[in-house]
Amino acid sequence: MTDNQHENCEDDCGEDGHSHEDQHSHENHLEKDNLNSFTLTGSYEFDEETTQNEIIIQVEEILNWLGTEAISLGAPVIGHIKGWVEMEDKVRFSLVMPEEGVDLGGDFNSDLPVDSYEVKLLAVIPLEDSKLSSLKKKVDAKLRDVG
Amino acid sequence: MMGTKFVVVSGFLGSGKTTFLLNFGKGLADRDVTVGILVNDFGEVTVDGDTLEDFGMEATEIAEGCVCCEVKQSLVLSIRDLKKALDPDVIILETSGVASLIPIFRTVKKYVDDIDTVTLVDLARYSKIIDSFEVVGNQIRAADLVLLNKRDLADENEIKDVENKVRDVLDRNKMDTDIKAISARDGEGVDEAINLVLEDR
Repeated sequence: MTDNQHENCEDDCGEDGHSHEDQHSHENHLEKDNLNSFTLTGSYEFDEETTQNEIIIQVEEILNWLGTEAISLGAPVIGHIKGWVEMEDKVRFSLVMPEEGVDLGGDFNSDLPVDSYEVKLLAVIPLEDSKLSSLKKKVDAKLRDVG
Repeated sequence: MMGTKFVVVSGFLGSGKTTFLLNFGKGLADRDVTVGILVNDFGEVTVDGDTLEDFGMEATEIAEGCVCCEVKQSLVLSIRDLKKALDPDVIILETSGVASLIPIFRTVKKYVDDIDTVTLVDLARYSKIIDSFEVVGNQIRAADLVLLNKRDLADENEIKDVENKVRDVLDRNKMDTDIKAISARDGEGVDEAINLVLEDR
């Protein structure tokens, strides 16, 4: 540990050094920053096959919607929305800023037809529970409509 | 390298920690440094551990909360397990983007021999987040090396502006921490972080 960290420690803890354990409590610092999250893991099936490319396009639209909606509900920034879509191939996604759009990673055969996909999504967004809960339900509903 | 060095890779949400870690971990391994990796996401499940595994890097995931407080015990147990299984020269912890670092230092210092901290800062978002999220300043003040990431998405004026603002934060705390603008996506910043980790070797 360097001097920097010691200085910072004193800076954060005040004159009493490390006696104020609760100053560093997880809830305390998250509450200060209003940081919150939801996780969504789901498996979705279609009546008719659709291409992997079409699934990715639609999921990307949903993620962009989620990011924009978070801002419109009062979040100062998106935070981070990340995860992956697993079809026959797996595609990772990350969204940090609406202006930058969704960053996709991983090779996939765009023309390959599939009849189901799975999603794992972690959204860390500075919004209160009730708003995040509502967003999660809406995202889940939109993901069910993909295809 | 004597003993086990603990390297914290921190940075606010979406600052590029996992992307950086992919190259950093590989760079250390290429120098015959045995590396154990711990990953903490703030959520019920982890995503970053899956990403690292997709790139052939084994990582121990710590989920269900933030290692700075909620799952401190999981962090300690994971360090012990890694030391027993791998006896690594370096244990890297990729924190969640919301982690406050001082509690982490306090938790791990009994179990490791030295701690270094690399903090990533998203150049494009710094101005939006520094005043809104207290944790951002904490992460910068706790750093031994600050990497201003996503250089490829910023122009020279933006880089200089953020560098000055980060320098102000450090100056107020009388710190001479190194700052470097990088693109983690292009593998930049890895050499500086490796030099930091290996300097006592």
